[in-house]
Amino acid sequence: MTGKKTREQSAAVQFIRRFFSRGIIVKAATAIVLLFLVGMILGPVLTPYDPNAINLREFLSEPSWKHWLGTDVQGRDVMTRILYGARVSLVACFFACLGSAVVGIALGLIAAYWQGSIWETLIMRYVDFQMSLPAMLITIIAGLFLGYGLVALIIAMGIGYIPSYIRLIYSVVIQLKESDYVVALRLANVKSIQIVFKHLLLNSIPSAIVMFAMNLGKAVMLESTLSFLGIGIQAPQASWGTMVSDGYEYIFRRPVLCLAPGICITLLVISFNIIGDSLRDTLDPRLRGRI
Amino acid sequence: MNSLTRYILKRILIAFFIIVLAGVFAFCVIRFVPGDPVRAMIGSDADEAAVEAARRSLNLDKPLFTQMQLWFGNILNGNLGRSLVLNDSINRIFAARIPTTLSLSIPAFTIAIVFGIFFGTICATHRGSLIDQVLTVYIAGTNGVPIFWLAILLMNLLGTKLGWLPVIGYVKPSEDLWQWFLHAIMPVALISLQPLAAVARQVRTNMLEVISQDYIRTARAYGVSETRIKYEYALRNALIPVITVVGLQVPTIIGGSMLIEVCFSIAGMGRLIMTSVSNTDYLVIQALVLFISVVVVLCNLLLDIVYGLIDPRIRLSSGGK
Amino acid sequence: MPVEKHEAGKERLLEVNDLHVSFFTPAGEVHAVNGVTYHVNQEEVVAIVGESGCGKSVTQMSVIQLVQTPPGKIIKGEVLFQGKDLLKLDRNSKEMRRYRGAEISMIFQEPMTSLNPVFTIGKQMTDIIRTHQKVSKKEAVRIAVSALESVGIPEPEARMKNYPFELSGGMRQRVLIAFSVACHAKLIIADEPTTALDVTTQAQVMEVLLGIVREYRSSLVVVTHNLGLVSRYADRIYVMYAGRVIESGTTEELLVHPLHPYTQGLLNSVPRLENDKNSDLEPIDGAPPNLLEAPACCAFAPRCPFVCELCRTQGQPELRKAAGHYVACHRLNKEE
Repeated sequence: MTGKKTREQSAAVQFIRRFFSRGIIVKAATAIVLLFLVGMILGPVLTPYDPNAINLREFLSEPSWKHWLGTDVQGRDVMTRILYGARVSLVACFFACLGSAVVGIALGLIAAYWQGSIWETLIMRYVDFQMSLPAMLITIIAGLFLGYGLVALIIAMGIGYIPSYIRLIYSVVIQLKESDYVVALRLANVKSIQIVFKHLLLNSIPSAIVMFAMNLGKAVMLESTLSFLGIGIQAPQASWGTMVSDGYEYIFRRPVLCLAPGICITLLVISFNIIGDSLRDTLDPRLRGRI
Repeated sequence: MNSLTRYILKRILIAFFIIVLAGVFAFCVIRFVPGDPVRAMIGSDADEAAVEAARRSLNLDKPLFTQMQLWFGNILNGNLGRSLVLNDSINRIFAARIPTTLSLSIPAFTIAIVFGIFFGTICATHRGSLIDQVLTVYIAGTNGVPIFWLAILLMNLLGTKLGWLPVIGYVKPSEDLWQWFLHAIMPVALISLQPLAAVARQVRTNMLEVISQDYIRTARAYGVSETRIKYEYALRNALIPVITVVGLQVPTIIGGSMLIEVCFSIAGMGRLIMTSVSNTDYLVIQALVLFISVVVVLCNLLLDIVYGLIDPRIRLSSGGK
Repeated sequence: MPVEKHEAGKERLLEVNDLHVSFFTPAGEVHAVNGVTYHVNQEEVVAIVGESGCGKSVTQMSVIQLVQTPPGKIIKGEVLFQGKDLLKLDRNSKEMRRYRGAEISMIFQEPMTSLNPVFTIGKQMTDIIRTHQKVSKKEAVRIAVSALESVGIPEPEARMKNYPFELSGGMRQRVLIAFSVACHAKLIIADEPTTALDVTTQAQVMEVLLGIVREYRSSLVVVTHNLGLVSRYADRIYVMYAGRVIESGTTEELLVHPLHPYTQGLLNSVPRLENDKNSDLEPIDGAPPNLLEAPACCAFAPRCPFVCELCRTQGQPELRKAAGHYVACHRLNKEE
């Protein structure tokens, strides 16, 4: 028992070592994500300001010790709003990706295992249909049905990412099904439910994790775009996208209002992409070129 | 029936299925959206009789199956309906905007493919060199920079501050080619940014994989020149899977146009999507969903056929992709 | 090296001296080839035998500088082809390419993946022919067709229009042999040419290859792990272990009087008809050493049944003449 545990531990340690051995860039990306996570969790403790408190006496003030990134046109502290924006954005994107992963993996497994059945046709054509529309349009239309609000946004964004998981899991499982060991399981009369859940599911998890990291980056981008267009996170709640659209009128007077949130989005998305790439190369290099 | 015909027929059948699915989905939008869509379209101050009249004119009072028959019948006749919000025929609305969007998205698409392949090949053949590193950073960067933010920065820098390029608006190429060009530079560059990176990334990965294949070693062992090996033998093999990635860029280009047309206030299909969503113009939305889906599916069908023609393994053998 | 009796009157075609090749991996420098010396005479069939990972393929790839660089690198050594040192040429130079295919051509282990999947056989062959010979396209096609014919491919004109995936493994290997026929190579290096084929096609392909070598009076180097295969064809055999030649001699000498314990082990692990049914095949215990460090002593010592003190202290044994052929073993040196 203990022997098995230490072996698992050492595998995890080995994985982490290999993951970080890929160079300074991966370490930097991980550090950035961790930094945003800490800021997001400890946001209320780190800053004395209320992100939405309007203080017209201090509007558009310059960056100073009091307000690290200055204040916006309504006198709200920009640093505080960045931290709260990270909060909303990361929570929304995390749950959107998680939800789509669960649904997508399930549908992908069904389509691949019952290949040739009507379910496969329906699921895969649905994937083709949804992939024929831009993810943003899907989310916007889903918003028409769901209304506006954080939960609605999470579901609407999540729907957009379901096909990516279905396609990936489908192709991974189809390959796995042909593998000798699954054929052996079937010959040994193992129940199909058991094969699907115990063997195929477990073996496709690494690919799904890679996809999850990649989609997180895309979701952060999508959320900020929607918020920028005014159909994502609604004012006065802080979001990086709305901060850009609020700030760009004053781009020459206070460039930081527009620059800071944009740089945050860029850093976070690139970091997620790098982590995703690294995860893929450490977990399963064969996925290269497919994700 | 030879295998290529079978392959193409299969692709056409799938494309047809997807279009029908898109039609059903578009049909559902106005019927199942919460609240009263008809009232939302003609305005909250309209009286009950006007709303009822509009509902009848849209056939929404009939049984669901009859509605679907009428909907598909109209589409097959090329009639997309009439927008109650804009009070105009949707065919006419589309016809006015499609050329604008095409004049931006076709150049963007072409640039993305040509430069994507070019950059990707350069990266792979000069792996690890300075140019590879620069382009890799560029690819990572364009995947991370929010396009709307970049648009704002460029508009203000190149437009307002330096005055090199017009900031907003659009001029038809038929009216003034040079002005069109000036107005199109920034939108086209921004729309092509992410598709270009995606294509370049895929070409680079494929090239690197192909270069380590046995048949490349064979060519080298028989003295074939490096130039020919890289740009003929390897590139041909590397480009075949890129066709699929190119297909995936069509929706990305459309999504990019949506955003960029809004940023630059260009009256194209992209901005039409955004305005119809904010006006809750459901009839235009459903027509748009169907239209975009059909365009993307047809593009992909075309690319699938090209794929079949280029790859001898599909052209000559049995079985699909 | 003095000219042996059986070699008298034959000219040296290829001579490889003290070749060292390393691969630079994240784990460190792998010494794949550690001072290999061998030669091939004109119209001779030479076999290079050893387990996988012993450096036999890398040695052959180095002859025409085909080792992937990086991670591989030819550290030092000489490859004299008709007296000219090929390693002095830049590996991407035009001059080096002139030797590839036209003078020395290679046939690889994997016929399934060694042909370009998206070009026809004809296109691939005429490209190669026109790389080396200034001929018209039509003439190149004619040369290609007759080359395909000479390796026993039926309907060669029709095959020219085929893609590799339309041919069987045996046919593809014949196509690759036709490549070297079309180039009139003086030396053909066949790297495990039959390993990936069905047992039934193995012999056919080998016969075709030997027929070509005899007809065009070329020389042949066969790289293999199968001693049984080469015993029938080869004039001389080199046995390699851990990146070095450990025993060499004429086929007869080596098979009848193997001196090195490793060669003896290899022979014992080959099934023979004349053997008593009850006698078991004897595998060689242990696994080949990892070559991250150049071995300081005899590399075979950990697996050798006759290992003695000398083997661990005396450094790597040199190839020395013993009983009519060459062998690198401390124990035999001591006995002398």
